[in-house]
Amino acid sequence: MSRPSEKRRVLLAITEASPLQDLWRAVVDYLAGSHGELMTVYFSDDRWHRAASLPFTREVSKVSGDSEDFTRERAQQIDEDTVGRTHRELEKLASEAKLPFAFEVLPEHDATRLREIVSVQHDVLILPTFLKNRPIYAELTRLKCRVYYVDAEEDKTADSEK
Amino acid sequence: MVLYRSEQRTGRFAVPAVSEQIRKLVVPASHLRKVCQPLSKAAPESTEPFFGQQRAVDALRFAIEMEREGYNAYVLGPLGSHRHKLVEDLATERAATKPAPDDWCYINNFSDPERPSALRLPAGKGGRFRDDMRSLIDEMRLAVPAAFEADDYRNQLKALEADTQKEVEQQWRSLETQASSEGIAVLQTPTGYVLAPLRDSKVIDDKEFDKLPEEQRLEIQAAVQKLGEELHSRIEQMPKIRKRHLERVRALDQDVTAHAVRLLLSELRQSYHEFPDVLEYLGEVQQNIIENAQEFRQTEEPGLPFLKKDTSALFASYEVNLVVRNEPDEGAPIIYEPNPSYPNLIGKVEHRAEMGALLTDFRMVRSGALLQANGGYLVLDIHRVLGRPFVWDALKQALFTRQVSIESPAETLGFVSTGTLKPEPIPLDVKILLIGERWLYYLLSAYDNEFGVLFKVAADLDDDLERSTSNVEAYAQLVGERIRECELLPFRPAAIRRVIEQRARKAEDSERLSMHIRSLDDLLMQADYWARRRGAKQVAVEDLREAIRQRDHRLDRVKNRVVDEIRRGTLLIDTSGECVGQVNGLAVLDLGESRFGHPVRITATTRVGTGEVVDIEREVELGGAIHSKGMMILSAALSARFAPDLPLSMHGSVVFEQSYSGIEGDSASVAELCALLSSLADLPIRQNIAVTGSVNQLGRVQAVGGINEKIEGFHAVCEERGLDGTHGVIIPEANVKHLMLNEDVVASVRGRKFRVYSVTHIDEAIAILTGVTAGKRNKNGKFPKGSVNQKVEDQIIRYAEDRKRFAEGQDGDEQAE
Repeated sequence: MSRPSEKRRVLLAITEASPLQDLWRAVVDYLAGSHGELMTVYFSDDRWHRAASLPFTREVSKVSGDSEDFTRERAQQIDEDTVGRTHRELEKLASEAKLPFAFEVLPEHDATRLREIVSVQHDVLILPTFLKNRPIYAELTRLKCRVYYVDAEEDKTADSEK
Repeated sequence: MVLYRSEQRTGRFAVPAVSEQIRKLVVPASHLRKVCQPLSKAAPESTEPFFGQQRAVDALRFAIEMEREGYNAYVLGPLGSHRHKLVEDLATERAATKPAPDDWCYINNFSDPERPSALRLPAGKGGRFRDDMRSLIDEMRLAVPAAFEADDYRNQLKALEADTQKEVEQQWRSLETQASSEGIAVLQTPTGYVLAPLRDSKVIDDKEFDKLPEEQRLEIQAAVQKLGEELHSRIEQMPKIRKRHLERVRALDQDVTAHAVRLLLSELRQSYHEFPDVLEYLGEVQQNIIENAQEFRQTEEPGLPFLKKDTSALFASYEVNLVVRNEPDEGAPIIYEPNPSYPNLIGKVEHRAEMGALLTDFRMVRSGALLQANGGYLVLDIHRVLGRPFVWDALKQALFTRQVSIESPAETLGFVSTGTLKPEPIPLDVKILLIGERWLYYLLSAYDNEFGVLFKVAADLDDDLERSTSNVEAYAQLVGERIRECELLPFRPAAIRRVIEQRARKAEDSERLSMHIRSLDDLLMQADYWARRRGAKQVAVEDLREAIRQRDHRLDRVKNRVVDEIRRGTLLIDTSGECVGQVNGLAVLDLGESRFGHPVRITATTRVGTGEVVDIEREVELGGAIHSKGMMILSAALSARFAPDLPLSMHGSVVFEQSYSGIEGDSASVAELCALLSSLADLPIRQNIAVTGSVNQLGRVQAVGGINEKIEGFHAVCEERGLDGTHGVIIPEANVKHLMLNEDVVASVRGRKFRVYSVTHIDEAIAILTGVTAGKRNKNGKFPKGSVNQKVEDQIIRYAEDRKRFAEGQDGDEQAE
């Protein structure tokens, strides 16, 4: 752990399926009252767009069971809504914690930009465990910092690597 | 035209002398005021209750004790006759012997909250039941939520939730497994699910899909469609799973609540095991609590205040609204409602404002006086009942139906369309004791058919009492009781006697005593005031005299004004000399508490005519019906007595001079007839004599009212001008017994400065006024020569002849034409 007086830089990697509250708790636990700044990378999932590009996919309502065509517009709307909601939620949490906050949406396949981000020195990377199975994980592991894995369930496992 | 003849006429009493006859008509001074003789010292300590009102007491007691429908009472008596005290005392006497009636409560009707149920309990039990239910609610507030907080409940609830969750997960997992086995991903959107084909665990896009062989593409599409149908089927299952879960939770909640409530209610059931209605209600309470078990669970506070669950209202639905409360040892209730408005009498349903709306429930039902008096007696002032809208009809309806339905009059009349409560009617068994004036009783009897059915007993309070020796002794005791009750100084015996005399004056009858208690109290208290003011230890006659003088003084502004205007000559009243066709009548002005008499000039003129006597007051509509009747009677008396064989061929006109307001009564008919006779006989009338009395068709003089005030009024005017022994008043002989004149008049009569004449016939009155004998027909049917009647008859005959000549002349003229 770093000394409390230092400014700690936290990189938070998330997707639309990430357990935000659990991840945020990990951020707070890490900072433990010390100064810090938060960089959030939201990996946009293009599976919506992929599914919407198919001519036969339909969205079935949870409530009524009725279905309708799953269009590109609908996929775009879902994507934007999800990103927007996540952004607002994190921004609010950061504001309450008086934590400098940056938020960037990154397509999973945009390795160039990811490398640029990763090249900046961070003290810790916090990410949901399931990202281990995604291709981007390889890029993230280039970071020379401590990594916290947070499970979707409450009982999170913390692993650390240098 | 009226001619003054006082200077022209001389030689009075020259014709048959009447002075001896007149002297016989003078009323002795001893008859002008019947003094109270010294009272026996062996009088009883106290009088019987409501002395002098035995008829009313018997009637009221009969009504109060008569336990039959319709035997309600109307107590007839003027204000100040202690009618309320009579009613209160007799009702109290009876109420003490009756058991206390039941208590009444309104409770929630769980199956129809808009119709609260009425619950009857023995006296005193209603309050206890209300308190017990409050305690139960307090216990429930703790015990029921606590039951939901218990580990046992939480564990059972968690188990239920886990089961349901497992069932849901199983549904999805099996679908996902099936989808995965067919290379299909189930993607969740914020509002639903999307099925998309996978390749290498990644959703394929359209370009990749197009590269696939057609057969594979068709397989994928078929698989997606099949899974879509399956997904639709699973989604339809979800509400059923949720519903099953809620039913299981609800059943659990009810089990938990039932257990908690059963324990709380068992003690209450034991306490009220002898009251089946209460047990039934407790059963409904238990059932309702169990049915609403989930409402008792503590939930998180909502963000908006109006979404907050009002658990106090929930618990309040088990409260008891005690609307009639009686104490077991207090007998039947006696309620006097001084303001019998509809809500005060029948009851009302109150409302409370909440978030801009008016809300109500069974707890806001309020009972009125009818229910408060149920099983006992309700005392009401009839003029207040009739003066308040809808009350009389509502009272009668309640008595007819023998139940009280608490609803607003607007609702009864259908003016309100919004829903409100309709509390269950409560059976009514009450005795209504109405108090009011006589005229209202007679009016209701005449115009309201239902009145006689519902109020079968009239308790008629006497206004006065015979002034017998024994009654005077008892009355003196009554005065003594009033003195003690009003905490006044003791009265000297002479003062007591003076009080009794004054009570005869109040009764307007020397042979009766007024039973108007308030005016008696007023007299006693005012005398006490003047006695205390002069520092006396006892009230003496002088204090009573001062009390009466001061009371008269406080009220004599109008009287003084009239006397003053007579003195100044504005109101023309002669008290000396003689005049043809002019007489001093006597009028009484009633100004509330103040009542005084004064002379009024009456004049009459006559001429040839067609037999009509014109009452100018009637012609200008200033005369009342009774006055007009009196005028017609005197007109008939005139035509019947004189020249009966000839048509009455005169025209007479009578008027009250300088009278600008209405005149009522027939007490001036003697004076009016005398003025007419004077005019016909051309005999002047003495102006130092005033006359009052009514006359019938046979010329007999009849009694009139206000006799004392009238005599005193004329005496005051004459005294102001100087009494010389010629002044006096003619009154009907029948009024002599009513004389209770003031000491001034009596002193003047004793000093031979003033006379009171009593007459029985118009002949006596005209003889006094003219100094000429009236005259009786002899065996030849002729009046004595020179008598008043002879002169009158001669004049009437002359008028008839003149009229005949006039008619013949007219006929001749017509024939000549």
